Amino acid sequence: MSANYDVSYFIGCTNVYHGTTDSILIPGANNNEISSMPTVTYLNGGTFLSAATVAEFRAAGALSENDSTPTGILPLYVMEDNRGNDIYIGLYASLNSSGYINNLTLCASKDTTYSNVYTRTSSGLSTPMIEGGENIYFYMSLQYASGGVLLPNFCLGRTYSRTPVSYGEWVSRWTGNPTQVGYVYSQLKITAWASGASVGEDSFEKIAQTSEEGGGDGDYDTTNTTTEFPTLPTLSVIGTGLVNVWNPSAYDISLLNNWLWRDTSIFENAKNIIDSPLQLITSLRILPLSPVVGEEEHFCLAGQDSAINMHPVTQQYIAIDCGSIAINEYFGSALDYGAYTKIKIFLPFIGFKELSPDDCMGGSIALRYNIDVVTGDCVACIKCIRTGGGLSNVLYTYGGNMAYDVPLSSLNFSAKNKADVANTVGLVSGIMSQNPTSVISSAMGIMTNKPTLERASDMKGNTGFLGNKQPFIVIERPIQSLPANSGQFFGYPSNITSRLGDLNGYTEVDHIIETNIHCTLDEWEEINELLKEGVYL
Amino acid sequence: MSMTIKLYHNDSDKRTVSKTLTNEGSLAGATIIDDTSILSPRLKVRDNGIIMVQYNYCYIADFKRYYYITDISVSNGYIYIDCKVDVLMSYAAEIRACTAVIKRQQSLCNYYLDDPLYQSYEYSRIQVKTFNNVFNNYNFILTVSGKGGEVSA
Repeated sequence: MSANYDVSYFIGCTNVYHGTTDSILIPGANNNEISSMPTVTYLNGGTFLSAATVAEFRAAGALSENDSTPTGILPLYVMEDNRGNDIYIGLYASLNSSGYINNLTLCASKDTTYSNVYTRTSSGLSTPMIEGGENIYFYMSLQYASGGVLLPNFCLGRTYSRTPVSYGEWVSRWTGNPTQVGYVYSQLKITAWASGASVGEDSFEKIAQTSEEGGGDGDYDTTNTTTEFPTLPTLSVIGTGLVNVWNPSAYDISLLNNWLWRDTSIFENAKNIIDSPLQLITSLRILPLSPVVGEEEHFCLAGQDSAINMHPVTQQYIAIDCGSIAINEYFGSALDYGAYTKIKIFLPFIGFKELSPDDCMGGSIALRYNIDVVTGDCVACIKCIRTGGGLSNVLYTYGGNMAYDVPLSSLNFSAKNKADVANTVGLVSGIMSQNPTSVISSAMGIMTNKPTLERASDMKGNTGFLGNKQPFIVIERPIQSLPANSGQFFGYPSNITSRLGDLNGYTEVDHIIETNIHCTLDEWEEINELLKEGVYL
Repeated sequence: MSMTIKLYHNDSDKRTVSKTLTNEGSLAGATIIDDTSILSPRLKVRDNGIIMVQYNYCYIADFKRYYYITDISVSNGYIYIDCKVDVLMSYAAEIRACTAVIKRQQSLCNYYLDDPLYQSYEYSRIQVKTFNNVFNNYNFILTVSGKGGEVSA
């Protein structure tokens, strides 16, 4: 790759191939006919232009810089038409903002100025030409115009034959209308782009090459490793003897209370280390679930049998499956994703959390809580499942606490109050965050700029116990404003390569890849502009 | 040079590649005013009573191009017709043969691409879906110290 070559320094026009010059007699308009080849005089000292630098183009006024109009033509050769008028064939070029020649135009003019142009055709110079020294072929034919005047007509070929072709081929290939063709004259091959030998011949300021090749070496690996809900811990305090966990009923609690305060004998074993029988109770909590319990047995405390039957809790950690919810596309478009649709999930004892529609749209989300029965701590795990994308992963995990702590002593009660106040402040601040002023001030913004509202505060513990305990999701979708038949008038985003003839209806072209339109430059520019603005096919 | 041009009435949108042409007529003896471009020629024809106002479109076979009639004027027994080339109709076949990257299209489209033309109301539609109501069974959990409540003095 000749990355160091600056294409702006050299344009080589190395060859002119003449088409057949057999005697051709084509009836033209008003019986004007030609039967012989016009006289051709090569300019530039009698030899064909072999190399042209930017400086030569500029000196000839044949360089378009900064959107200027060239005033001259770099002459190639001159010929006479059938009325004895000269037709000058020449080149002019344009520079892009980086100083590279990015467009080359072959022009036929009545004189050596740009102001009397018969016809012209252009070639945009693309990277392969710059790097590969690829050829451009300008094909020229002569044809009758009004009054029997012989006029040149150019065609541009880059992928067609690079060798001279017969007259018959020309007729069928380019015109399809032999009566309009007077003579096929020549093909001009322009080649040797970015020749290293020519670099530096010009005083035009070089542009330093700072870019390097890179990227494009990703492995496109989209295989997905499924992640399941986390398993429960296998190591538990239950059964260690350090603590004992029970699942009493309210009646059992009542019996226990009577037993604790009436039978003072239970403190005999521990009276030296405790002040109150309640100090033997680590915690009394209410959980909104059914623990895993064993067979009923007598509740014992401080070595004393209370004769109160209770179920011992046998499993510290449990998992509760909340089921799954299908999240289907509503629009079947970009409106279901990204900045348009918002999804929030309410997790009891945790609060509202936002989910990305990209993770779950067109699939489902499953929710499971892993819970420590002893402490009430819980973790909500959200699994996103999208069959189409092969996604089945726990992508969100949030922690909380679902136990209501029953205050058993003044110390407990004080601590509980502090916690309640803290949660209440959080609740108020959560409500205040839905500040109506901020909503109003944003009313002029588009939907994607809407403020994100908190729908609940921290819902841990006792606060969450008073709140909603059923998990749910909130899907906030835009309401589209769509005029009738808008697709017929504006179309929809495509970004697909296609042959225009395969399409119907409204079409906007981003850029043309392959074309074979034989028209003037002004017509081509208008066609290009119209296709980009949108046409009806 | 005298030539015959075909006259039409065109109701199609300017952006339509293949126009629907009606009311075809013919105008013989038209000549081109000197120094006019093939892209926007001015034709001159003797006023022989043809009702030109019913036409707004023409085809000049000598130029192989379709034209919008942009203006019609009458002077000294001649009708002057100003034309502007319709590149879409003139090169309809070649345009259809083009291969291009399509930016927007009526049917060949991908709705999952973000569309700058999307518009939505300032308010939105809320949908709520619930999971199973699993946290509805309340139980006391009592935790005490020591196995069997035993403590050592």
